[in-house]
Amino acid sequence: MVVSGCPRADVLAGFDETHGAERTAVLEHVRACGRCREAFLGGDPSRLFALLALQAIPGDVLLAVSSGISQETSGPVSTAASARTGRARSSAWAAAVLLAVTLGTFVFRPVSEPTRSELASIGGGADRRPAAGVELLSSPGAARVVDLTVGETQVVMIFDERLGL
Amino acid sequence: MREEDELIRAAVGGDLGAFDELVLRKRERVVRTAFQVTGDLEEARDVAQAVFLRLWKVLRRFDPGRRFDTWLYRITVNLAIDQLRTHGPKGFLQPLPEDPTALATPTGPTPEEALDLASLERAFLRLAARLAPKQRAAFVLREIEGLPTEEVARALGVRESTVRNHLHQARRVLRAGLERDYPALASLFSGRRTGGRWS
Repeated sequence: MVVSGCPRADVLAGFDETHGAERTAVLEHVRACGRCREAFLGGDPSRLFALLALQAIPGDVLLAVSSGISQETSGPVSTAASARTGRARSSAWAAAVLLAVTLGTFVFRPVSEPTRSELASIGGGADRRPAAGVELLSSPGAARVVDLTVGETQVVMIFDERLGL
Repeated sequence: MREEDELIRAAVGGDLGAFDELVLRKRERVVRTAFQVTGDLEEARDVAQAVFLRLWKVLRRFDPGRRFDTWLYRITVNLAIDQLRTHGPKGFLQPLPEDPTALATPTGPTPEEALDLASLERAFLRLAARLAPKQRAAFVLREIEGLPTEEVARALGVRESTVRNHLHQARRVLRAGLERDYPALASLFSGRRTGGRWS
């Protein structure tokens, strides 16, 4: 069937350069007009698939796309993207804290921390020397200050029964 | 109706209303492209949603000197190809539901005289399943969506010569498939009418 208003031959030949409404109009015509279709195909039947640009997408599918996007982009805390970003940030902070705790344990482990009995002996016995790396800064008495220093790491402990320390 | 450039500028600036309007204008093209690449309408819907959500996320990085549609197509085909590679080509037995108004208008040709788009879709999905993902995407963008070769190259992130090669291979496979599996269709484009619909 040949419908009226066939496009000029140069329009069919230059179809690849057409866009938008003009392209759609040519395709609509080619779909209906056998003679123009033959000219349009130019011996290559695979060009027929250009007509699939006319295929309408069902409205319910388009609606589902829009509503899905609206749910994700609207609302202050409902976006999946920001939720994912927030979770990633929380995970990063948790990992950093865990790493710091692990490294901290590793750094402090070599230090021989005095036991309560050792501390008591440090404060009470003048003839006994403190454990290695432990320095008694204050003289024995009500309050005691113990400096545990290994390399650049320093821990100062204060003991004072009157203050509950 | 707002101009597209204005909409894009507003959306880049974080205007959700402008972004929604862009989605309305572009969604059918995005779904159709994803559908032709994946061959499955549900996957195409999922891809389209992922495309627009990613777009919303990265829109602030959009370079106004570039073509927005090319950027959108790039995101679309990348996600659709990922989907195709993950799940494989499918859906060739389930083309788009027929839209009665798309087959013939009251003043136009009868369905028997016009090309049946649903049948054409079915043939394409079956034959395109034999193409490599990038060959298929190149064909969809160039022949169905009508993008110039240089834009197809930008969307696929390859050289123009590579696109031409993909197109050459895709046309060869599709042409051979049409002639072998759909001989009734051959009579339509060669002018030899057989009457009735082809299958």
